[in-house]
Amino acid sequence: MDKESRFRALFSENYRQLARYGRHRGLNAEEADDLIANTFEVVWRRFESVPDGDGAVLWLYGIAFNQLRNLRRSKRRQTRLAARILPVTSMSDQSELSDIPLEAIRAALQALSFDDREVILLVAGEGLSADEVGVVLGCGGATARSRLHRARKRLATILEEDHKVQRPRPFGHVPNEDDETTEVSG
Amino acid sequence: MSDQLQDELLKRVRDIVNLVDMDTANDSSEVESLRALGVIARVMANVQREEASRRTMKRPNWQTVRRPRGRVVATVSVAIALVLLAGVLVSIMGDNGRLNSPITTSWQSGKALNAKQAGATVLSRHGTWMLADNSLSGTWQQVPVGPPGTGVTCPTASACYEMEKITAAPVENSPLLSVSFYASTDGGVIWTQFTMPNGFSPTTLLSCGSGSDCDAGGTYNGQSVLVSTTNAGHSFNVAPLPSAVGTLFSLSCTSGQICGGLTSEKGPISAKYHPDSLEFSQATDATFLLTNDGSTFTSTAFASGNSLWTLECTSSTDCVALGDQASQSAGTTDWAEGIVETSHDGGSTWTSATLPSGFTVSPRSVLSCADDLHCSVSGQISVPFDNPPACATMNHPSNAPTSIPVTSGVPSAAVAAIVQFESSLITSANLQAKPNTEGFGCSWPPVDPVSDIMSTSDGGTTWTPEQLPSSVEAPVLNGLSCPSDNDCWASGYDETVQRVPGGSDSIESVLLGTTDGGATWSTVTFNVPPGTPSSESAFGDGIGRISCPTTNVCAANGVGMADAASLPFYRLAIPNSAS
Repeated sequence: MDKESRFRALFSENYRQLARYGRHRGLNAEEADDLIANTFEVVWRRFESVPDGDGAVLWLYGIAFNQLRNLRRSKRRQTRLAARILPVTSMSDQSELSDIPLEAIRAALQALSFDDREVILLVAGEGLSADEVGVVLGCGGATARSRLHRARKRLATILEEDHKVQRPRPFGHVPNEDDETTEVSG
Repeated sequence: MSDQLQDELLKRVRDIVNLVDMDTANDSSEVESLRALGVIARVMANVQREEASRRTMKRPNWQTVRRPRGRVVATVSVAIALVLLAGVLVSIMGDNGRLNSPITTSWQSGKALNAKQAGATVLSRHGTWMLADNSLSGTWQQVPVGPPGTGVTCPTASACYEMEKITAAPVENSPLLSVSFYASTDGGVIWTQFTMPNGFSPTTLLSCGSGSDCDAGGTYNGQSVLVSTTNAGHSFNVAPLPSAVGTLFSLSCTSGQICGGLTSEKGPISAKYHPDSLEFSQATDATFLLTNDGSTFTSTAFASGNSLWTLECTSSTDCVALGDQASQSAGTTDWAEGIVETSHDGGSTWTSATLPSGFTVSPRSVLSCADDLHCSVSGQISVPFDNPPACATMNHPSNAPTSIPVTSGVPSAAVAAIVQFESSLITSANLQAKPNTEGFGCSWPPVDPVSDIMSTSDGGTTWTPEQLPSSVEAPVLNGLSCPSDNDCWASGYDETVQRVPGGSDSIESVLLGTTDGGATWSTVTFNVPPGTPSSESAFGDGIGRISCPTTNVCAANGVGMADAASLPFYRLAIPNSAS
């Protein structure tokens, strides 16, 4: 099979999953298609780097993740995109997790940094394991587990604060660019 | 919240995602197939257009790569060189493969950087971009075929250099395949690519003290080294650092092949313009290292617990180092005083001072000194602001500026004035922002880290924060270069929407300049021609490093994603009569 045929096959096999990935991050159908198109233009240029087998979709998630982050980086720190991903409504004081409305959890997700939110959505939305998240993000499985642990904890802390459950939310973290931007391969 | 509850929380997040899936489940497979067909058709059209333009592009004369005259002679020469190299390696490397003394790579001719490697897509699709309408004299021009790096340095008006890692994939922490060295002898228009020693991984930016001398810190097969060239990249010397100083993370070379550096045993920090290995708020425990291109090394330890990040040497004797107070920089609104160390005896003794509180020197700060008295540094201030009114309906407990806690200290009066100015700019913009419109967003807590510049004219004893133009709402600076006491250029990006046909907000490059020592800064605006695509990832990140060897010559890198097809490169050439 020539390059174009293999490329088209890769596209067909993964279009649905990438569309789902985009929709999970608040993109409408047209925006998700734009994301997929941008992703596959990169894939064409780097087609020789696409891993065989199951690794391909993780590699594609990684490219899509970079495209998405680039899109977000061009907007304000808490973007209108994020606002659209996670619309929120007023919340009432509640102390049990099961009682917390999904809207409140959406709001807490929105309050997370982009990277924290991505780790959680890769696991909860795309159903990836920590090791697979590591492949997508280009870090090791141990690092991914650590990131997931921290992200879960921050999400829980935000919810706790919002619902006035015991501990106050620790104020932020050092505002470095990792919260907002991707490394430029140096 | 316990781990069990956190697991439950993940399930609730999954419920949210499932709701999204249910919303889209109504799309029929037929509709989905049609959408997929549309996307692949678009992708194929774009990639085929790119490839066609590459094939039809006429190769300029300067891109002609000379073929070797005598292939057989060359082959024999290489074989002999390899044999000699093997012998040399045996004599200079210990049993464990570590370098005991410097090695020098064989001479290489370099490879012209052609349009296929960088810039072809931009050139063919969008034409040459001119950066016009600048408020300062001179014209910025985008060079369509630039090197793919992010850390240009030009020691003279004509000589410019870059260093760039080549990785296996366009993702973070991808395995390093090789490191390229790019050289230009015409101010950044035409570039030649060289290969740096195999096994070398940079941990500093490139620093070039004169027209053909450049150095970089890094590791060589895991061992801390200084790599230098004295012939503009045709060969490299790899010198092992002394034991117990760690790895270089900041390097500043002056003429005469003298370099000062900061090392840490906690490193390495990456060589990108955005250091990322040593964490901000962590003490670097830096040591000063002075070397003459790796022939000899002299080290001087700073006080234990120091958190110095950046160093600049203007001569073999005059150096200044800046950092933050690691123990106190733990929060968004950290207003602890930064620290300054100055030396006028080649690093043997250092004098300590402090920066005005509220101005944070971080790993990504850039220090530039025109001479031993005049230096400027980019840093970060924390700016509280009001969210757009619509954010109030989100009922977050931390969405009021008064709720921002202060980690330590208070800002100095001078910094507080800058913070107030920036705060009013952001708040003013937010008041106009409406949901689902360009620029709308809510931040919790409502505070942004914003770049600022601080300068000294007395060798580092006193520093003054400078107000940046109001047209740049929330600047993030990547580069700073001050070729004289009065002239400085700063580069970076802003979230301000740029003027692009079609309404794209993806271009947010920022160039700032001052000709009065920082008293006033002006913005260079971008005039983007018709036909520019509405979204071009290569331009999404603004401008990286900037290097101005003289008051009328500058070069700067465009910054893009790791998987961008090409990166822009900018150069400024002001006619001498206008300077």
